[in-house]
Amino acid sequence: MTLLSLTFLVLMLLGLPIAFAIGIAGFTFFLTNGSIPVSIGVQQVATASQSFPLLAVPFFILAGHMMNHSGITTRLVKCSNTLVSWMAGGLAQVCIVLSTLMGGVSGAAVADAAMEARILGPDLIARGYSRGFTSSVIAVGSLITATIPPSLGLILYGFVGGVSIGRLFLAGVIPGLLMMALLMTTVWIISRRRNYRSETAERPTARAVFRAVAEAKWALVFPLALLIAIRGGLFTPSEVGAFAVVYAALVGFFAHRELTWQGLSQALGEAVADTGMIMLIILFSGMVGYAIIFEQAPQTIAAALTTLTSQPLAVVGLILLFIFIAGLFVESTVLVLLLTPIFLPIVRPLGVNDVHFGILMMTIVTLGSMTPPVGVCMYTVCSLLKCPVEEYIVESIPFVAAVLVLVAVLALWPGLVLFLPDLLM
Amino acid sequence: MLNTLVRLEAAVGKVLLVIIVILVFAAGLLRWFDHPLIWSVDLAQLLFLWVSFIGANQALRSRAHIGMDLLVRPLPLGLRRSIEIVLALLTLAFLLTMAFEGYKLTMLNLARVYGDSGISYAYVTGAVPIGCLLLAITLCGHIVNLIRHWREERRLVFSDPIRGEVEDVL
Repeated sequence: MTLLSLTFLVLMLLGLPIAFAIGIAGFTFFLTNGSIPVSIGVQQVATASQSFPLLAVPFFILAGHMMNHSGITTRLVKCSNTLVSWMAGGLAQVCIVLSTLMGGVSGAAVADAAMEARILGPDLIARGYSRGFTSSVIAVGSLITATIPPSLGLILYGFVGGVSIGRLFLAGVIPGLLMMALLMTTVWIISRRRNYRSETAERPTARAVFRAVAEAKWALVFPLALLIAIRGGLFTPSEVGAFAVVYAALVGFFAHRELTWQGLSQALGEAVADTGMIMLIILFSGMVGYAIIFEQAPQTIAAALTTLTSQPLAVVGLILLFIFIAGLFVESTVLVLLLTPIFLPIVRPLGVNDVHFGILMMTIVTLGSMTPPVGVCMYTVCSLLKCPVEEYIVESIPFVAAVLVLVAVLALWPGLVLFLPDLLM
Repeated sequence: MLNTLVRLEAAVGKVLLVIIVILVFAAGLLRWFDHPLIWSVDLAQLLFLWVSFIGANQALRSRAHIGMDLLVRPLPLGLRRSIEIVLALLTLAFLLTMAFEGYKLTMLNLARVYGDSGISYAYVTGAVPIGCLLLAITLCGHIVNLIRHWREERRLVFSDPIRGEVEDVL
């Protein structure tokens, strides 16, 4: 296990793509362990993909790409513009609301952040919002997208930990909406102080709101349909993912008449490459997963933890702190794949609900991609908007702090997370 | 020739993804009407493994795999290139070993039947050696290209310093 961790760390720090670093590290375990044949390692790679829930990953990635080609994204932008651009920090509020609305159709934070940085970012900067502020709003705001169902992170957590993905999805709704409210408040306070003025001082008329919502109805109805389909237990998350793809195609071809064959082909191509990138990490981490269980890593770490404290809340707090620090340096998919099988068996016997823990863990892990020194979301937005990372770091502090406050609140009141799944499933 | 192969690979990936969507969509719909299609999910999972490797290979070709370049980014180009070549050779050895071991395993799995579908499990296991071989070929191409254009371009093996790492991720 020491050799494995060391190999992984060294290769990753030298800049080898994470998928290969994890593959080679896992492979060392099978090479040096005399009793297990190397072919078991290959077997682990093949079986890592043979899980039905995992099929939801390519489906929701593809659905997300198709939304962009079928006019759903542009309608959501218009809708959020009408709804909130009159508030203090108008355009920044639009970014937050857009992340929330996109959350209902898209499952990945990076995709949402990149889209907003391209479509809204330049506008904000042109209207006098500082680059650091704009980048922070877009990058940290995309965390809402990752929390509101469908969520790729929650699918992965459910897949690795054997937790109901339907319940996880339902559990993500309230935290996602709370996060929206909290980030909007943060934007409001900062904008008032800096005098970032609103676009249109007038509130929108009821008619304008109605028209904007009606325009975006196909996109707005989708998350509700998704939750109802999963909630009723009629369909599994993977089937719902396939439905989402068909739905996006139907809306794009027939309702909006914006999806072309060329656009469809492009969306398919992008989805295949994105799927390959995520799946290669998942496939190769199959070998590490085997090593973790074989070496009884959870038991060892649990024993070490319990010498510190056996208070459930303190244990969860320590684990979340560890995940937060690890998340500063390691990519989020990898953290979920490697840490879920270690930490879930530790917190379960303490009476911590696995759905509750999943939401806390996912929020912290995904927040890691918005914080320096290593954060895919942060780098994506900063490079698209040409924002110096130092500026981003300073301006993102209030937003990251707001999210951490929310995580603390959610940790102390599990009811906020578990209310919807307990009520509906 | 090479271009045709790359285009063929892209087309195969897209078609397979469409088939997977249709298989799972149809299974969900038919189950709703009480006609479960058991084999369709098995087939979808099998094809998914192949799509994953095809997509991974495309991502490698466009140097899009996520890495952490925090420590190596400030290094001078020559040193960074040397590190990347050593890493690439190590990865190449890993991929070829996986391909070889995977081939042996696939031969052992020929008789094993996969799920309820009646398909040989070798079609599942076989994706690993073939996928790793594809990745190894693409990686070889990157290494050869780097050495051939050593002077005129600022190329690397795994990442693209000109476009910047981040846009690659997209």
